[in-house]
Amino acid sequence: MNLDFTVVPRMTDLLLWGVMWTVILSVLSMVFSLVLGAVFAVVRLSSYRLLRWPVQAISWVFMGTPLLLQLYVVYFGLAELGLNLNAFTAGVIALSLHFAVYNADIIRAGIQSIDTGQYQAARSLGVSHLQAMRKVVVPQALANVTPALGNMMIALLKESALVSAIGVMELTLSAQRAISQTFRPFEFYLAAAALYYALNLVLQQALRLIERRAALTR
Amino acid sequence: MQRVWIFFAQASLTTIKISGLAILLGLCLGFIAALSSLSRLTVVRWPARAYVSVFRGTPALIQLFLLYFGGLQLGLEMSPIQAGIIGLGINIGAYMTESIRGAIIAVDKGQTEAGRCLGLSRAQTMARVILPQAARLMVRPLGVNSVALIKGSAIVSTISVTELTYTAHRFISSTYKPFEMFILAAIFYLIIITLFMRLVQWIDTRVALKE
Amino acid sequence: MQDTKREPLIRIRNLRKSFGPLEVLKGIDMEVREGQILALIGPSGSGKSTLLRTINQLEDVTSGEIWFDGTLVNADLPHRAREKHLNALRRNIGMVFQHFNLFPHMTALENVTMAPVLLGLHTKAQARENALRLLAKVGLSDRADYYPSRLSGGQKQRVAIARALAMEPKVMLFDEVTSALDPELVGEVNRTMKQLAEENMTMVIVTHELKFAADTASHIVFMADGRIVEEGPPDQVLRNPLQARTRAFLQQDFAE
Ligand SMILES: Nc1ncnc2c1ncn2[C@@H]1O[C@H](COP(=O)(O)OP(=O)(O)O)[C@@H](O)[C@H]1O
Ligand SMILES: [Mg+2]
Repeated sequence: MNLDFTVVPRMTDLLLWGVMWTVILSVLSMVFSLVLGAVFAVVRLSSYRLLRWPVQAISWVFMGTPLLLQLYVVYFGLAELGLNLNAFTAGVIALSLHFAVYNADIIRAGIQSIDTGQYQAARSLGVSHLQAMRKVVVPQALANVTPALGNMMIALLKESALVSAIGVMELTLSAQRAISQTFRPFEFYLAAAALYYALNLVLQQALRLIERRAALTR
Repeated sequence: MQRVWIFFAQASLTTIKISGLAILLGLCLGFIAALSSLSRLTVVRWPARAYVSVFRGTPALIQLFLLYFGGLQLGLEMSPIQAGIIGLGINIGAYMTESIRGAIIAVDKGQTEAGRCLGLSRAQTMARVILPQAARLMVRPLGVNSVALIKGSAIVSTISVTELTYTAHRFISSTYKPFEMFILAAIFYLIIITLFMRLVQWIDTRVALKE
Repeated sequence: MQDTKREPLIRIRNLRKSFGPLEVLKGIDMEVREGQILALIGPSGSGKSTLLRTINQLEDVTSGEIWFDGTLVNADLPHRAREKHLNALRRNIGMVFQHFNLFPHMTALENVTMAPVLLGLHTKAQARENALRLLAKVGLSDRADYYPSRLSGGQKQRVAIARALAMEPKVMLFDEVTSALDPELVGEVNRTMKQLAEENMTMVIVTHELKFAADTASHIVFMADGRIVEEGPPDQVLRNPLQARTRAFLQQDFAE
């Protein structure tokens, strides 16, 4: 067998650069996907059909098509329509939208699962609608949805590898750069896999802490 | 434009074929790994747990590249289609393992006890009592896994399998209409996935019927 | 009717069982003779179910011995041999559960025929004939092709009894088989058990129905806190108990 793992340490800088950008890209997308997901969820629960309908359509399309295709549409497709985005921005937008749709479903289910009695109890104390939502419904829903949202964030970290296909310089593309210099795909893809696995473990630990926090505030 | 449609239709068939075969491979691996992960023996349990952890813990794209390009380097020559099916199948198998394992565990413990009390062996109890009941519980999660796989199959375009995403990509250079091409591909995906979800629903009602 | 010189069918010697730090059975000695109807009574949590479940090794034991029909049930064997030994043993020990545990994906008839066919006790035709006879015996001839979801609790429990009987066991174990039933359905299951008792089936019955125990059992064992406090014929244990603990339990129970 023709394997030589000593080439990997020689590319440490390149790979760590990739790790850094994967982290930046993923964390940004996570934040946007959560915020946007919450917005979508609220819109879909609202009584304005004119608002609800477009969000429903977006979620149908984004759930029914591949993320890779969505990346291409945002990057190449929008350029055709005159909206020129750099690859990184396109990557963050596509990842955020894609996961926002899934997060919205989770958050919506979480809000719906809260006993309406809780909300009514708050309202009967003279609390306004917004306050009742913010102080009573949302904290409970948050504890319920944290594990499922955590799983989405784990998926996002892994799926972020796809942005290499539009040329975003992150971990997968940095491994490919290393390969084009050394012609050693096995070693570098294995190294990249190990790094993703490590990032995944770190994220899981972080999520466990957050979950414990969310559960404690009950 | 009509020619384009024909190419897209053909590419859809490739997407369906790759996904179908990968799903079958994933189901086989999923069953084996799920049963292994419930074994009494650590040496059987451990590899199954490791399989799930590793393949769920790393990107499918990296797994595919490792199999295809890494395989070439090690003298393991595969066509892109073969690598695509195997790579996707092994990946989704790890997720399916969890679906199947979850369904088996969800069957009431009293069922195992009732089977064992009648003198059935562990294997007989699993085959005749537990699995038929678990089968109903696993249809939906396995359906979710399969839908994810059909969408995920787009990644094999990166190793030049001429499925839907690849075809859309290729037509950009001849038509200079990326937006239209990708939207066309999206429509085909939506059709495939909608039809597939119907199929899952139909299977689900079929399995649930007898009771 | 009871041949006291013969070896008892079940003999339990100094049986102990712990779940982690919690000792649930604290040295049980008990015998069940062929044809005996033994009722096991006692407050909830006293270890009755656990004791019953050690007999067919649904629970393994911490120490002590269980003998069934001349063989050591809890023999220390390598895994494979032990599995074989247990499978053979369990065919001869029927068990009926509080929550029925019928197989929901099989009809009443299939529930009864599955094990005898699978284990080669009967051919398919024989098993079917035998099952129909047993279902008739528990009064469910007309429900043979029903799935459990369409049966009442009492009917389910009677199918479960027929299922256990189909293996032609030497003893039947019953664990509070009527306590999950609506009150009006208890009678039909009790009648079925009584009928079995009249046919000289050896039975160990965990029950909280003292009246049923008094009417049906030939021997009563009163357990409390992991120990056998008192045992004997129903007239003695239920009407003139020797132990204060037994009296307290009976008073409390009859007072309800
Ligand atoms: N699987 C188990 N794990 C831990 N404790 C158990 C288990 N099964 C029973 N116990 C405990 O053992 C004691 C006796 O239980 P059980 O035999 O079910 O009593 P009974 O049937 O007389 O009500 C109880 O305190 C119960 O909580
Ligand atoms: Mg009990």
